[in-house]
Amino acid sequence: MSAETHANTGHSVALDVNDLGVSYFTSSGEIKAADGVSFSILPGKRMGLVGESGSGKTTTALALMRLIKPPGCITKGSAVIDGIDLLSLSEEEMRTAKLSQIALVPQGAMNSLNPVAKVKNQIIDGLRDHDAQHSASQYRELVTELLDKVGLNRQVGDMYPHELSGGMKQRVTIAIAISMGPKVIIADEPTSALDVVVQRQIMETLAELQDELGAAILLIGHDIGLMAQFVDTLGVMYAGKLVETGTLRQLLREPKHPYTQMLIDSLPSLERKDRKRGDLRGIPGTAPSLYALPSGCPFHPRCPQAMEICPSEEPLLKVVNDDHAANQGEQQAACLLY
Amino acid sequence: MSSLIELKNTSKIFGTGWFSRKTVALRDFSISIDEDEPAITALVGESGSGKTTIARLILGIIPPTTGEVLYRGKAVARLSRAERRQFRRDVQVIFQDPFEVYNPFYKVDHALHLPVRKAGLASSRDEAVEIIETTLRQVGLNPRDTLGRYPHQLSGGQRQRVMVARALLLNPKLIVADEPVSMVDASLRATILENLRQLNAEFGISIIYITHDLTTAYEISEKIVVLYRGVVAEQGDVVPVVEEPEHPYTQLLIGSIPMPDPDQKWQQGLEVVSPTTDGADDTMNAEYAGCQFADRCPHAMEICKEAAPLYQTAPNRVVSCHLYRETAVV
Ligand SMILES: Nc1ncnc2c1ncn2[C@@H]1O[C@H](COP(=O)(O)OP(=O)(O)OP(=O)(O)O)[C@@H](O)[C@H]1O
Ligand SMILES: Nc1ncnc2c1ncn2[C@@H]1O[C@H](COP(=O)(O)OP(=O)(O)O)[C@@H](O)[C@H]1O
Ligand code: SF4
Ligand code: SF4
Ligand SMILES: [Mg+2]
Ligand SMILES: [Mg+2]
Repeated sequence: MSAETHANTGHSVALDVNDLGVSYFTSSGEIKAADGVSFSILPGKRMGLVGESGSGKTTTALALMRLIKPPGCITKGSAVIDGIDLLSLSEEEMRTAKLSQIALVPQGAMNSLNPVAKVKNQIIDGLRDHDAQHSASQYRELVTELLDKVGLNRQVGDMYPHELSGGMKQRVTIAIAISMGPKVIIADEPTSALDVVVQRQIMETLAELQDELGAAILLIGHDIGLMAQFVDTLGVMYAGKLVETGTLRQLLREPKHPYTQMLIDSLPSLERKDRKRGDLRGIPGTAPSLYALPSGCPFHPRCPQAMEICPSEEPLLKVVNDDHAANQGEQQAACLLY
Repeated sequence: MSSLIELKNTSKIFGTGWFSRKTVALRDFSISIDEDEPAITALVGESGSGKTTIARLILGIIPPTTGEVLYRGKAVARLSRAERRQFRRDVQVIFQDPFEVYNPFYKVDHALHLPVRKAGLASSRDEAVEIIETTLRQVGLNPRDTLGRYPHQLSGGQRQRVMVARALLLNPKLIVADEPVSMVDASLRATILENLRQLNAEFGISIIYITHDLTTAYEISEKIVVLYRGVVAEQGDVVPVVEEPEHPYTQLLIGSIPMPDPDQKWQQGLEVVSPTTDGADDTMNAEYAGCQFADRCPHAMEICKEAAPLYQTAPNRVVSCHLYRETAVV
C-alpha cells in the first residue's frame, strides 16, 4: 500500500529534519536532549524511532511541533515540510501549520484528555484553533465524520473520557490529530498502554487514515515487535543522538551499531525462537548522564566492542550498507567500527 | 501456609449512586498471596479489564463492593493502627501512571525522602541520600540526572523507574507493580524485570506483576491470571497457559502479539471485533450475566448467554468457558 503512494508522489520528501538540536538549561547545566538529529521520511512512508528511555525521542517530537518550553529551547537545525522550515516559522504561522501540516499524538495522550469535557468539545477545540468560521451544525458534522474515520460511533461525541475504554480514548486523540489532514503524523507511544488486540486495531486504523491522507508517520516507541509490523524505516537514538538508521529489515536482520545489536538481543523469548524463557538480556550499565556525557562515543562505557580510540573520537553517522541494488536504501551507523 | 494478602470472592462495582451508570470493574475474584512461597504472579488483561482495580483492592485503597480483603487473615478495614502501619510497609506499589503520583510542585527527591523518613530508614540526611542513590542505581537511573528535578523534567520511563526505586526502599513483602515497564525500551524492560525477579528470588518478595503484555508475563512469572472485563478467563501456571491457551480470549491475545520479524506479519484473518466495543460497552453493565467474551468469541454458543463457571482443566489450571463444560467445576 505504501509503495503505491510512494510511486504516485515520486521521491519528494514529506519531512526533512536536519541537524536538529534541543537543549534544556537547568540549574545543574545544559543538557543536549537532542543533538544533531537528521532524518527524512517519504510521503506515505512510516518511520519508527526507538531508543532507551530518556534518549530524546519525545524531545525530538516536541521540537518538530515547536512545543519545547523553557528551560528548553531549540538550539539548531531545520525541519522542512513542503519547502517550509517549521523551526523558523513565527508562533502564529506555526499555529496554522499544526494539525494541517504536522500533528502529534502525544505520549500518554489518552490520559491527558480533559476529564470534564465531552469528547466532541475536545475535538472542536482543536478545529476552532484553525478557523472559527463554522456553524455549530457544521462542527457537529465534522465531529461525526472524524469519529467515524477513527472507528467510533457518533454517540461517543457526547461521552466523557472516563466512560471510554483505553482504546477508545486513544482513538479520540487520533481523531484530534488528523482533524486537519496533516502531511506528517507523529505518534508518541500511541499504544503502549493497550493490549495487543486493541493495539493492532488502532495501528490498522492509523494505517488506513494515513493511506487516505497520503501522510507520513513518525512512530515513537519501545516495542520492536510493533515496529516490525508497522514501519518501513527505523531510527535508533542513544543519549540525544541518532546512532543508526536504515530499513526495518536492515536494522532487525543486520544491526550494525553495538547498541542496536544489544537492543535487538534483549527482545523477550516469546518473540524469538532462539531464546529460552526467562533469559533476560538487558544492556548492562546505566544510560549516561546528559550533564556529563562520556567523551568520544557516548556508548563506550557500555560497549562490549569498544576500542582504544572510542573514548577520544566521536563517531558520526555514516553509510555502512548501501543496498540500492536490492532497493533497500542505505543504512547508516555512528560507530567507529565502520 | 500463611497468606499475607487474600482476596476472597471480591467484586467491585463503580457508580452505585442514583444517577451514575453502574460499571462492574471486577466480578467474584479470589487470589491468595502466600508469604512462605513468594512467587511472581502476572495479572494480564486489556485496558479496563480490572487490573488496577485489583491492585487498589490489595492495597486497601478502595473497599470491595462484596467479598473480603484480608491482611494476615484480618480484614484490612479492621486493622489496628500498628497493624495498618506494618501493612503499609509490607505492601508496596508501583503505579501505572507515575506522573499522577508525583506532586508537580515538589522535586522527585521528595517522593523518595518521604518514605525513608516515615519508615525511619536513615539516621542522617547523608545516609538517606546514600540509600536513595544506591536504590536509584539499582533500577538503572543515574542519581545526578534524577535528583533535584521536577517530575515533568524526567522522561516517561525515568519517572516510572523512580517509582520502582521508591517501592524498593521499604523492604516490602509484596510489591504490586502496575504496568511498571509499559514505557521503557526492550533493553531496560529486561533490566527492570530482571530486578523484579531478583527481588523475588533474593529477598523473598512476592510480586504481583500487572501488565497487558503477555510476553513479559511469560518471561518472569510463575503464575498467570488472564482477565477479561473484570472476570478471570484463564488462570494457572504460566507455561501451559501461554504455550497452549485454552480460553478463546487467551488464544486471541497470543495470536495478536506483534513479532519483531519483518517476515512474520500479523496473523491474517484473526477474529477482530469492531473497535467500538473494545472494553466499555454493555457487557460491563451490572445486569449482563452471560460470558463477557461472547460478543467477540468465534465459538460462541447458545449456552454462552449464561456466565461460564471456572472449569478445572488441569490440576493447576482453571478456564472460564463453556467449551470445557465436560470437565469439573472448581
Ligand atoms: N522540561 C525538561 N527540563 C529538563 N530536562 C528535560 C525536560 N524534558 C525532558 N528532559 C530531559 O531530556 C532527556 C530526553 O527526554 P525525552 O522525554 O525526549 O526522552 P524519551 O526518549 O522520549 O524517553 P521515554 O522513552 O522515557 O519517553 C531526558 O534526559 C529528560 O530527563
Ligand atoms: N473510580 C472509578 N469510577 C468509575 N469507574 C471506574 C473507576 N475506576 C475504574 N473504573 C472502571 O472499572 C473498569 C476497570 O478499570 P481498571 O481496574 O482501572 O482497569 P485496568 O487497570 O485493567 O485498565 C473500567 O471500566 C474503568 O472505567
Ligand atoms: S564507536 Fe566504539 S564504543 Fe561506540 S559503539 Fe562503536 S565500537 Fe562501541
Ligand atoms: S463461554 Fe462461550 S462465548 Fe465465552 S469464551 Fe467460551 S465459547 Fe466463547
Ligand atoms: Mg518519551
Ligand atoms: Mg490500569
